[in-house]
Amino acid sequence: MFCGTGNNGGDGFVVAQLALLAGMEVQVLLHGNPDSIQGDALIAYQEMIAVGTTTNAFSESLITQADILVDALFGTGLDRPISGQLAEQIQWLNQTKKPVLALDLPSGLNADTGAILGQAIQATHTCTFITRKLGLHTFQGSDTAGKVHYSRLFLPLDIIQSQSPAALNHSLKHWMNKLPERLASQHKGVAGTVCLVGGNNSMMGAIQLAGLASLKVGAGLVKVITHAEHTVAITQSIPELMCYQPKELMTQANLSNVVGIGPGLGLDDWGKKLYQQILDVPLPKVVDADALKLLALNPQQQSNWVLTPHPGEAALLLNITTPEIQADRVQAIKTLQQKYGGVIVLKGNGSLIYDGEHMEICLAGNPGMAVGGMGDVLTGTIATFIAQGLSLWDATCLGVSLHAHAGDVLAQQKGQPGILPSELASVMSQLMSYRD
Amino acid sequence: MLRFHTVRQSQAIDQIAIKEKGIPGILLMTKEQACLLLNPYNITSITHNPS
Repeated sequence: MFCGTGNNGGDGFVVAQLALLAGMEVQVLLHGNPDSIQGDALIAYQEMIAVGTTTNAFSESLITQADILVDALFGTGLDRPISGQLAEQIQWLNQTKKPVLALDLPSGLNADTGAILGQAIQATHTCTFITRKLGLHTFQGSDTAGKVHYSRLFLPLDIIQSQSPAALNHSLKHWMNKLPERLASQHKGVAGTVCLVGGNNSMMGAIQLAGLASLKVGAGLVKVITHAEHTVAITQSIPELMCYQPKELMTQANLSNVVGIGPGLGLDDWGKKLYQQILDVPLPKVVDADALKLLALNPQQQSNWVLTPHPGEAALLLNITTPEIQADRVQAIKTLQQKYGGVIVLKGNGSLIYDGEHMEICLAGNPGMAVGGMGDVLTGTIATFIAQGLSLWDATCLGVSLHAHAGDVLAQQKGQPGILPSELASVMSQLMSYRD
Repeated sequence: MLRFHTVRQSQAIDQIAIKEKGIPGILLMTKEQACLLLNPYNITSITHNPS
């Protein structure tokens, strides 16, 4: 037991006492002065001592002998970076690779932001109590917390519900149920017409992947506005995609339900011209990749769009650094929404979705999805659900959840390295069929 | 549906629990629950049973 002198340490004293009573051999390594223990933690400390538990200072040999380590050093009250000798001790403890159970949250992790405060315990499991903490699931939280378990313990639900949540997580099934039923009499026009814009020189694959994803999640018609030199190659590769040259942009956009712009768009005059034209199209839009970089150069607000930045693009949009975005992703997405309007997806571990009112966190997904083309697939997916009549919010939450779950299916089937966006599009299609 | 709260919200919930319900600010659990907790490869569920 690695215990501090606050209430998180108090949790540790309770566990230590009970473990001893259950016949386990328990060693308590106390960090801090026992005279500073107060309140309920002091009662637990005294009870623990009364049953015969002794406390020790940090000891490498005791840790080496342990089968399991329990982290009860700091809980949600930690407000300063861990440094100095304690940071070195935690670093050493992490290197032992012993199984570590963190009580409430790993010591050193910011429970709101998922940022490590100086140094953090590397837990294999975290049992969090009373409320679920966002920081366990976003940014560095997932790397630090291991497998997260939750118990509200004895607390009546009405007390927990007395505080409106900072974020929600709904199941994939919940979002899938938002999709309209496919009627036997349905024709392709009802299944949504998507117009995708991008695929500049040497980036044809990006718009192709967005188009593939659109088709795989059920779009009725997918129109691709791309470089004149790419139209033949794309059509040969995916004959279901209807390719047009940029001069057809306005005509084809006006025949569509939604526009997705950005995958492989580029930042040259070709890309800029298309981007400028699309801005004035009175249709819902999904804006990603290079289109976000162009937006960052000339910020504006629209209510009828979905922006899907990764942390680097989010940094450009807010004119700050990527580490600053990651240090507080919740605040970052709120600022993005305030500045640009619409629905924002802040991609990355624990992707966040925010529309100015609701916050959704995606708990699915894995590091194998960190590969070029994944964002393009997401663009095509969200655009398709909008084209099929879903609200921007529902379409975005469904798209993000489906995309992440498909990544997890592939990771389970073949491991994380080598997950291809094109494969993921096919798995999304399979997952959607389970709904039927 | 899962709900997530900030630290500030969690602390507010803790205060309600402590003040209105007289619930301690630290864990209450049985030794069986503690054993379950200490088997990190076999954690299934942890429920509170003060008795």
